[in-house]
Amino acid sequence: MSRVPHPRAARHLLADLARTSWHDKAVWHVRRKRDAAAAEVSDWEALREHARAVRRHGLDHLDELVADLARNAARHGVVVHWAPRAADLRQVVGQLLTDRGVTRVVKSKSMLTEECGLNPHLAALGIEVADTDLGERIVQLRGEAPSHIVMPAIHLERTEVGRTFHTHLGTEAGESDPTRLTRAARRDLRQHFLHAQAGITGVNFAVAEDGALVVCTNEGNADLGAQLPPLHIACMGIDKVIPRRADLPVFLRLLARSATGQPITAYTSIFRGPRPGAELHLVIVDNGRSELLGDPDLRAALTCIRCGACLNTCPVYRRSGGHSYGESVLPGPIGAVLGAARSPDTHGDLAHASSLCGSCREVCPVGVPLPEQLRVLRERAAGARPWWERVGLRVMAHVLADPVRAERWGDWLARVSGWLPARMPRGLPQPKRDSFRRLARARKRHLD
Amino acid sequence: MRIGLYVPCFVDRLAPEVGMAAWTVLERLGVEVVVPDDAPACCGQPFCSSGRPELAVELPGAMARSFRSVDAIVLPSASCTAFIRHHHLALARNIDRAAVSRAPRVWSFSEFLWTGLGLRTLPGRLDARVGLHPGCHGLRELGLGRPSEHGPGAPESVDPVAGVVGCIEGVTVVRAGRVDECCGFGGIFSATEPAVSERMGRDRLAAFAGVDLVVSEDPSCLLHMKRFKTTGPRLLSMPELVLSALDAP
Repeated sequence: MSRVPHPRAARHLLADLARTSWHDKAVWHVRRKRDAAAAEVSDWEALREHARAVRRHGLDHLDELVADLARNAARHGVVVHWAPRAADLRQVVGQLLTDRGVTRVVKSKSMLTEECGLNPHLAALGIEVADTDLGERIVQLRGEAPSHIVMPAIHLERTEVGRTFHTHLGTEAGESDPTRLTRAARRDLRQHFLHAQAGITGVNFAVAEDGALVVCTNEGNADLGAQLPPLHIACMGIDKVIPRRADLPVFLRLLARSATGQPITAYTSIFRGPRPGAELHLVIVDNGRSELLGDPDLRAALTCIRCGACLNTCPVYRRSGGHSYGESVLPGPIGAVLGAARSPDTHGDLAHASSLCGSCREVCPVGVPLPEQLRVLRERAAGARPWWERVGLRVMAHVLADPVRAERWGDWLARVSGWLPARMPRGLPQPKRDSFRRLARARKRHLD
Repeated sequence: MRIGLYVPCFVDRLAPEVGMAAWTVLERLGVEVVVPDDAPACCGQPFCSSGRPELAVELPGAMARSFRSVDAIVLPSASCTAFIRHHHLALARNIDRAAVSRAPRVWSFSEFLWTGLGLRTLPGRLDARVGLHPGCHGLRELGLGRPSEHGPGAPESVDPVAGVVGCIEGVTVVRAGRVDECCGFGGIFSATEPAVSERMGRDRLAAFAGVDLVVSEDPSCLLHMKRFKTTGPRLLSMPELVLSALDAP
């Protein structure tokens, strides 16, 4: 395992006190915007419950829904591809592009293509991919992974963005004005849009009953990428399917409010089929989702709509930063669940990157029981914990199993704790010489 | 009414005064209190949060047996209460299942005062600005108050901790800017993620700048925050706060 475990990776951000405060505040601000947006919906909790029910129903019928989606999309001229594993997505997309001699691609935000490692694969094929979401473009230029599902560059201050743009886009040294930096990015991206031979997008929701593919952005970048080049490749996980068109508004209302506090995303585009003379391909990816579907304790994680609200509310994420979760998975509570579920050997430690405060479950628009799932994942990865933790828990269980033994050990601990070296963890509470039980016995004797 | 007072492992050894205060308060409110000698030392939550429930399967049964003669069990810890109420039956599996399912209802201390006893007034007076720190499990699992995540249409909730604090004349209740942010204790979390846990504790303390007292239904949160406290408000558990109000002239 080459990944740095979360507790150690977290120190990278935490070592910088001011930066941690700033990151925490910036992300918390989005949580507050979400609260305000939720407060404006008179039946918010009912909407959440409805969405949860639709998504759970969708899981129970996922096979039929995905088949319906593929059939209905194909009826409108969408070419459907199946990608059981990440490698299949890379292969399908790479083949589509090389067959057509494509060398320049624009891509709007898709966590799925991050999950499947598409960009490096296409680069190896000699295909230039420009990420067109502003945040994702910034991290792409820096050679970093996104640190948030919705705000990929939330870990960066504007002066850092300014330096990146100065290096890569030729903005003036020292320029950090957000408007001028955004204009520079837009000028650069415009050229990529105009010269791209293909556009790759993700899919926020896919409607089974009519084959509609729904893409939500705030920058319109997915629309330019899908409309200008003659080839549009949409990539989705099987979990993105929803049953009916009538369900769509429920999720659009919840997604934008939960993600950023907006009533709706600035651009919500529904693709039914290719434009005349153009091609629309849909790659439907499994990559471990079916296995998760067969896991009764964890399957609800497949109902996630990738709003990022659990990240924004998570006191751990806000202080450890998105990169502490490792680069191949989503960050935050949902990333910890999916990462530890899919790759227990390399990401099992993420199940412990939570104080189990429960805020993520309450904020989640579809009610994924994230803390309960993290508990389950802790059980499954218990054997891989460090030796001191395993031994410590066994000793503790032995001691606490018998109240008399517990008192004897407690007395001993109270005696020796005074001698412990000063290098013990900061200010651990001092065990008292007289336990409650001893005081209680004395009090009872006194009363008798 | 006979209640059993259950004092969890960490309170027993790290903050016994909290258990004693709970006992005194309950007796002064006219409740008959039983403290069984054979109650298990721990409710089992630390093992379940660490992914090792098999180390704790016998605790629910032992607990149910030692409290079988009381009408209700009261704990000076909302987190342990939530664990017992919601997880003990599952944890017990097939060991003493019948006894565990017949175990008396568990109450968190303030919940018992406010909802169980219907306490609405307290004698004495305390002139203080009191910051309330809701423990996460009390808030989101026991439903002691309304989690800040909830939007319109959430079920009505009562906050027994704020209720009991409000019974004390002279108290001004202050809410932290982030009303229910976690203090970073999280049991095993404070050992496995010490850096994040410490930062959360420091931030939570800082959120209460300017108050005289920080009060919580969860002594575990207070013990965690105390580790990083140099100056600032006193940290006080609910039983201690109520006792000091009862003792006030």
